[in-house]
Amino acid sequence: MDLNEQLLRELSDLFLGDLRSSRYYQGLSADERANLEKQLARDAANGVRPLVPGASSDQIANLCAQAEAELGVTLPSSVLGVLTVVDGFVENGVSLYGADRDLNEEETVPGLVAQNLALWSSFPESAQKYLFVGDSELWFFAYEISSSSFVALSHSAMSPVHRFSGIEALVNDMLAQALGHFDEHSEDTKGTLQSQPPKLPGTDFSLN
Amino acid sequence: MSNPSSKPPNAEMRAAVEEALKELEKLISDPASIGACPELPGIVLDRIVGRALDRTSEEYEQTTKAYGKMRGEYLKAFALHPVGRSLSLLAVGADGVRLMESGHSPSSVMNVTKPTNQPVRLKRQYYNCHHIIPKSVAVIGGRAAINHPRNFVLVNTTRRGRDQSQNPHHFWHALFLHPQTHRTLDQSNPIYIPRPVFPLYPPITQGFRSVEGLRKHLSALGATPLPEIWERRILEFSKAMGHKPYLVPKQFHEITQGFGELFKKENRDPEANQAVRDKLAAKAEGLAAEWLPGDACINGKTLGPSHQPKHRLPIVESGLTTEPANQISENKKRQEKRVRPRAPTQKPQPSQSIKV
Repeated sequence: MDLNEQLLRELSDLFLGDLRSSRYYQGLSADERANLEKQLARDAANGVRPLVPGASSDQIANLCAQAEAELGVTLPSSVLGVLTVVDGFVENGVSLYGADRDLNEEETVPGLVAQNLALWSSFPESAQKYLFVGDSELWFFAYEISSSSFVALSHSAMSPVHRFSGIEALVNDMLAQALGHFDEHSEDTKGTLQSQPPKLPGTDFSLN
Repeated sequence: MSNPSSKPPNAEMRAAVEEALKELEKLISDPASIGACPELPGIVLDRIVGRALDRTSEEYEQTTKAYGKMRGEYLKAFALHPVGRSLSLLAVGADGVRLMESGHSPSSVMNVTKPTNQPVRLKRQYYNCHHIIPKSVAVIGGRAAINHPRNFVLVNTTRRGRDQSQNPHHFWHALFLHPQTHRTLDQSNPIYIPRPVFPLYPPITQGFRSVEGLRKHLSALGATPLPEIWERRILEFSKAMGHKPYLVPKQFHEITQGFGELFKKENRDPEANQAVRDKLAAKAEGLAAEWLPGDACINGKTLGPSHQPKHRLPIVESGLTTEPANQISENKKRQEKRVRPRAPTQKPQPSQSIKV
């Protein structure tokens, strides 16, 4: 399964709309606005989804080093692969963590290392058992280290309620939740741990 | 500003929002108590008697599912309520209210980052909807009491790397909720819940030194004036913060930061790791005990009648554990897809800009 490019583009379009309708944008001078639009157009011309870019190879290398040093965890290549396509997002209470920034750089999405330190602190039983990759108001999304699989965890139980076929399925599901795409069949999910992802159209979890 | 493509909220949710705001108004009588503890301005400890649920239970699962379906309807109804709308405009601005109108969590664009040779990214502020009494606590009123606007709060959960200063929800969990609900399965205990006296927290992003200044700001936002009770609360909150934006105090970031020590190479052998864990747990327990009264139970142990908390937050018994008057049906559809916003045609006045 691949990341759903249509959902990523939809998120990018939504963010562009949010930016252009924002008080911040309306308060920019004509020159500042033109400059910003030029930079957004440049990003698009470079093959980057405007406002939803992937991480650069330097950012990925830094993230790997930080995860080794601070979490004692080697990040799975599948996670790194996804971050090169979408370096985190936050929308409608759904957050995909991105590459942590250096102290002198501004953060725009929750950093993966920082979030894992914060969550492992709150839920010590999860430390080095789960590598958290995102969250919503109802679920945590994580890589279960012992089984090398991706799961949704109930919000403070820290036990899996759903197992995804891979990180791409997990991120597609998060995107669907963030954007408000749901199909009625997904409500059939009983909340019990499933060994195989259900064969449903559209998203395969999305209880939110 | 309204979103014409969004369906209006149903009548029962609108009645429930009205009930929630009325109950919130009755929660404290003296607005001066808002500044009782500057570390936690506008927070009271709501004493309930509850039991931590086995989070794999059917009850927990059903509560979670029902909440997922009603959240969007709640956000729409809150943005439509005259007082709710004005309070929302103060906390999350016009951008945030527009999202709430379509049933989505509010956020507002602060600016963009444009590092050299890197793509443009949005820098935003996010508020998420949370339960005041956690879903993982069983109370007398059952699911109807937990999944109700009386028990919801929209909290700033903006996270910037290690900086959790704009994430009071995480702070409340670490300081109060986790220590009191940990290791207490199958026991009904008093639980002191941190409860904001505002439906959005923090309620403002800039200071207000006078009621005239607050009214002028609301007017510039196109909001209806707030009832006096809310004006006084906002002004007291602003005063408690020295008329600056609220940030979680630095001393409380230590628990999270200290956890990084656990994974240093010298602490990786099991004995050393356990020792660091115990030290950290003791620190977290000690901090919680500074705020909680003697009948509170931390990590399964009651503090005891001789315990005197160092800090004194107002203690209330809101009755949130009982069934609400206006219950919410649980068969509602989930939230709608959000439509791309259209840029406003009218340029806002300078006073409409959001400061943080």
